[in-house]
Amino acid sequence: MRMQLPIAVCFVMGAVMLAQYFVPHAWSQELNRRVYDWMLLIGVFALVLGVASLVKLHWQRAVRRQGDWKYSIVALVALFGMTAVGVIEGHRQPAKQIVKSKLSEYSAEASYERNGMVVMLSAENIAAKSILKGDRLQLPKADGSFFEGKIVEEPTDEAAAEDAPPVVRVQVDKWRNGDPPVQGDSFAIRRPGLDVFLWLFENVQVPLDATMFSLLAFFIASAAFRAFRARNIEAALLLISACVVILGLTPPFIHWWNSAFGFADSLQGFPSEAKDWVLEVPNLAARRAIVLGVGLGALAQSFRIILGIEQTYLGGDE
Amino acid sequence: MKSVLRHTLRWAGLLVLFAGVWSGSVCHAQTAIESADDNAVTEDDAQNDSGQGLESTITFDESVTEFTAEDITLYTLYSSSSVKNVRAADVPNDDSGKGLDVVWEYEGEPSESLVGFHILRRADAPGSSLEKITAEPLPPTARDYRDASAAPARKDPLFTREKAVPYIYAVQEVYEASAVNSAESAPAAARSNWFHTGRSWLLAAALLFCGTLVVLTYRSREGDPPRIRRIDGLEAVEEAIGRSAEMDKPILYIAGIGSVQQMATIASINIFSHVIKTAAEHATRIMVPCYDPIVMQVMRTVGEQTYQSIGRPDLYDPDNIFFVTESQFAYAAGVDGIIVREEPAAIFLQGVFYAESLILAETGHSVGAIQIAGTDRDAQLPFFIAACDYTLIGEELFAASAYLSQDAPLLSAIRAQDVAKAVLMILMIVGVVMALFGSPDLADIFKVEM
Repeated sequence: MRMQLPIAVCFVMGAVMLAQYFVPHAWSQELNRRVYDWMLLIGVFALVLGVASLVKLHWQRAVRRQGDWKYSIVALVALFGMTAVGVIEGHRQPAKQIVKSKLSEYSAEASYERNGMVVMLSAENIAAKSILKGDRLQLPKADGSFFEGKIVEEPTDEAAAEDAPPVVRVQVDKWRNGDPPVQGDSFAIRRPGLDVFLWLFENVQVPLDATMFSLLAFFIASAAFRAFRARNIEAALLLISACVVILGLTPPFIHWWNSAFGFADSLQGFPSEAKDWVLEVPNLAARRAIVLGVGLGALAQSFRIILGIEQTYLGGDE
Repeated sequence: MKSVLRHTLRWAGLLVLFAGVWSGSVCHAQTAIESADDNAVTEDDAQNDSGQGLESTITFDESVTEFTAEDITLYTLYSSSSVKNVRAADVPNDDSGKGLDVVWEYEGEPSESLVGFHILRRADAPGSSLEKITAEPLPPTARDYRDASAAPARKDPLFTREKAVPYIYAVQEVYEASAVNSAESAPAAARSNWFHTGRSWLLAAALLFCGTLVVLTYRSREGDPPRIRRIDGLEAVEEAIGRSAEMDKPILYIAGIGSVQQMATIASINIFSHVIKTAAEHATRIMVPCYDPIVMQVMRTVGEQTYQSIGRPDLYDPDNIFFVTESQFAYAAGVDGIIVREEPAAIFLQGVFYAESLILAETGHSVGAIQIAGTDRDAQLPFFIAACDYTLIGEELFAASAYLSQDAPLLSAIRAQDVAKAVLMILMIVGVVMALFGSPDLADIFKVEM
């Protein structure tokens, strides 16, 4: 019974969710949504167990003074510190208004950045130094809503020196349809309150992540050095392919090639063409074969589990 | 000639309307259309002829600038729409949330004065009147329109939908100075569909594959066990665990950073079941740092069951299967630290991996561990091949459980996989041959909407 019940649940849920994919009816979509909600709930409960496991592991290591126990202290302090900041602070402190002025000039740049459009505006009676990157601008519209955005570049004193109002670059993140702001519109610049949680995330977590990611470059170099030793025919082919791709992606080499073989039109751009051929013909063919095998393998495994043929994931004797 | 007449009539329509507004009421006027009553053109005739039949019966007096209401009625009657065959239908393969599709044909001559089309709609109920539902005219090239507003509202808390209202549509031709309505469509209502017809081929293929798998499994139980080729990476599992036991060093099992919904993670859990069983038999410590807490719980259950099944529950320590973090590079840093501190003799990297794959594999290589990797991410395979001793490539990851157990029903699933692969290869060859001879693209025939 201990094995049969999970297998029965797995069969029913597997079959139902498989059928659900082919049924676009509203009831079917509703079922799908609910199952995903259940998964989220299970995930939250599992996270509690996961954190408990993490705390227990490091606590024991710290208490027993096991090897490198100081790292465990760091892990626990980071875990509880971030949790405490998040719980105590709740949300950032109220924003403080630092500038209130009227718009003297406005222009929208043609470029769109990741989170919205960047606009440039200038105004009288504001000191460039009083505005910092990260401040938020609010420009009320006639309908009561706001153009709102984050200042992405601190205004320089150059404009002030020329006796012109400072220009403020603002990344508008709540761009809505409507008339653009016009000269004379009043606006405010507010400085968000200190968000310790966000500050810690942006100044500790993000740089550490970037550091780990950057290690990849060195690992690629060391792995490539070992992999590209021509010990047999296959390794030699790999080495040649790698050289073709690397050289085809290296602008100085391409420039040199085009200069050296400038007399022959047919040889112009050959490194790039060779690189493209390697990537798009033999490489792509092999990748497609792997992807096809993965798809069939995943399908076969799904049916094995749904039909109860595969029970290994339950542990114990198969 | 017909085109000239039609354009003339449209411009006349503008003049008529302008004159009507100007005078504020019916004006004294001379008729511009001579002998219209005598010709006795009915509304049906006008619809059928699209106004083209007026060529021989209507003349236009450009000197006349004032028209009566009767003239306007007659003009509207004769200048029937060039939009024909307006049809409305439910958007297929949805939960009725996409509304209705309206399609029409335009039989008029190309004209610069045609601004576009407005869509008019009314409920299929007595007394309802057509209302414009497009804010701006659709472009003159448009021949269809999806009316999402015809979708019935969502119903909470069940999140299903209200009963759909049947609608009737018409298309209005918009010219620079006039507009003409088409005939109305038949009523249509959005509805929830019970089968996604765009996925029929996928269903057929899945059922065929499932059927093949069941038949082969049944046959294998009758004494026809399949054989599969040797997979070096899986042959090395015993060797790696034995090495750990001999060196008295732990085994590190990394199940990747996938969630439990991903098949590669489930395949990894299956492999883990075999690895931990062998490790338990050798009384070797196995450490499992987890990225996903749900995966951690599943692996703990598998571990506990396995130790119980071999009669050594005393050796099982749940703390060896622990959660690290759900942050990708923090996880990589944490596992790298474990590798450097614990110096495991064997490292298994099985499951879903992304950019951290090489960071982990190279660190494992630096401590001299024997490494067996496997993933379904084709982009990460080169890294594993370069840095690990053995790599399970793609489908080998999913075949591992069957291979390690040598269980006949499980092996038969791999045979079903090979049958499917053979069928696909044949279809590819047929597709290439068909393409060479200019036949329809096979991919279009078996098209599936995802």
